[in-house]
Amino acid sequence: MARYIAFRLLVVVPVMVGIMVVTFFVTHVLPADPAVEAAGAYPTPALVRAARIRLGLNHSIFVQLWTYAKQVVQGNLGSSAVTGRSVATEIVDRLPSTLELITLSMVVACTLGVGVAIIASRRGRGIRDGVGKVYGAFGASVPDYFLALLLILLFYTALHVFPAPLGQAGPTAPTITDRSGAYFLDAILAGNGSAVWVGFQHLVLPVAALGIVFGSPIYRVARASIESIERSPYIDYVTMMGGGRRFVLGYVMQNALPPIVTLTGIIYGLLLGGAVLVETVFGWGGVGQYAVQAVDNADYYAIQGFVLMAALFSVLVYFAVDLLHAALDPRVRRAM
Amino acid sequence: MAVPTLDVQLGPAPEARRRTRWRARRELLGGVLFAAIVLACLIGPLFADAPNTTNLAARLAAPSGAHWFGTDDIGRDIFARVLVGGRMDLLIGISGALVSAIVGCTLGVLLGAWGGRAGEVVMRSLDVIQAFPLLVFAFALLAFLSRSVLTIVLAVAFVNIPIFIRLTRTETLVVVQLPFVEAARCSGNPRWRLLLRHVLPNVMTSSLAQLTTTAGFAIILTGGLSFLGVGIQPPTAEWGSMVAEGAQYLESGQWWTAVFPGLAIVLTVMSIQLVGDRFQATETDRG
Repeated sequence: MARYIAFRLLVVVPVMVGIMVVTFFVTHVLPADPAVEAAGAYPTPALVRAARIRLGLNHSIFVQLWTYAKQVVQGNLGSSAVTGRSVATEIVDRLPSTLELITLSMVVACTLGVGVAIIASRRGRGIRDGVGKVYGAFGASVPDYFLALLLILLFYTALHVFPAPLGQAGPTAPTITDRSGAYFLDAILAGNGSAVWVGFQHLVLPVAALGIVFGSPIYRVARASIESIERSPYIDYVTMMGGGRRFVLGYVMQNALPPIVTLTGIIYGLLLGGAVLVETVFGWGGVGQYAVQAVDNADYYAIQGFVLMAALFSVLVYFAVDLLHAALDPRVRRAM
Repeated sequence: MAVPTLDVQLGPAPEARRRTRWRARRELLGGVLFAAIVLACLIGPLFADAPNTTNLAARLAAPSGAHWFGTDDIGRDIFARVLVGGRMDLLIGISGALVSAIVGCTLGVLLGAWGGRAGEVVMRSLDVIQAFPLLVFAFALLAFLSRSVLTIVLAVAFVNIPIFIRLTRTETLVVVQLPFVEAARCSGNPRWRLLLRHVLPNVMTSSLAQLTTTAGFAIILTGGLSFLGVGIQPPTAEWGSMVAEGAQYLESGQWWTAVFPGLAIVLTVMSIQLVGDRFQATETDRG
């Protein structure tokens, strides 16, 4: 096991180097000129030339790559051509908000997907099966941003149950000390009851939108996995021995879990950037929105920084998934 | 409780039959729905109002007999725009999926048949590309390209290529070792015909199933890109950008501006997926 972990950790390094080099070239091949963007509102040729030298764009692309790589190793992702602030700081500021959003969404998605799958895969079919099918079909065909808008229309405009989609806490929220940048988490840390409530209310709709949409692929995989395991002879045996529904389910889930865990990990890894539309709808101010702004401004370092961070995140999530997989399935452990 | 087991051994008759019937009904429903949507988008605009005619006297009018889906903020008929916009989404979604399937399957077969170590390297770089959120990837591509229908199709196709390469390559690795391929090689078929006539048709099943999933996904992606402002540019009607334009009127209660184009996306993608379940089903039945 220890050897396996060490080996997997070692693989992370070349993958990250590969991602860095590819992103670097892709961003630099693109036809936008960041020097023009950085030269201010009225870019005269002299200002653009100055900006080009300031950003180091006058060197050859390989020299630029080498300089960039040296910086990255030291944890310096360069500074934004637009705001002039360090990209690493800007991303770290926004990361907790997005992590809070997508982590809670994944919890909802898993509960919903696996829950519906368990209910729907129960042997006598009927209304339960129908509910599962409808959820599977709807979740796979509704765009997350549209579902978010529908939820706002229903629960804010029509029923006034949840607050307006104005960021993580809205303009009238109680101010709390900013520890992580994620309002709900900060409120819990500060032990401020009313702030926790405000943060919670603002989280419900975006989390529901992402949870429902991304719960549907989990549902599909969970259902297929549960049904195939339910057909195996050992489950018939457990049933014959007189195990109740819940008892049998325990045996089913043990073997049905690995594919579900894998898929959940993949989705979680992608959501960091993939939640951008829902972030936009709710004005969340997370890393997804940061990336979109960076692309809009042709901000090289910011784009590269985001890609590196998103890639690192998914690589780490995959790593955790593999470990979990090994913990769940003794065959995987022995095969190492 | 031993009875169900016995039942299964005699043949899973009632359950399987019920399932087949239900599946057939869903496919039919999906097929009819999809055909209806395509027809409406192709023929409908000939009869509906002009999609870009503004009517400032009827701004944000609620759905009525004159304007079935209501009007938007400058008085354009939303029903007409949904119909015309559908052409754009269907065109981009379907051609994007087709282009990525054709390119992906070709590369997949070549890599599977000739790849060797180079194939491994390519697969690892695909890992890198796939680790990246598709939406942001497509967004970044479009942010720097001119935003025409062609570049959007190419961006949508490009981000979906890896999955087809992966599916086809995996199957090719197995199929090229089967006796019938060897037999075809021994009878003197040139390499290109071997791959084209004998290998390709046998590795396409899972890609066909993927094609419908990708087409549905491509429509959602197109809408998302427009929603972010890098897709189809206004005033051209397109479902995603219509949802984006309508979103600001949701809070003041003019729900029809965003809801109808959004529902169009949902119904279209759902119908494509219902049809696609057929390929999925035949595939699992075979395996």
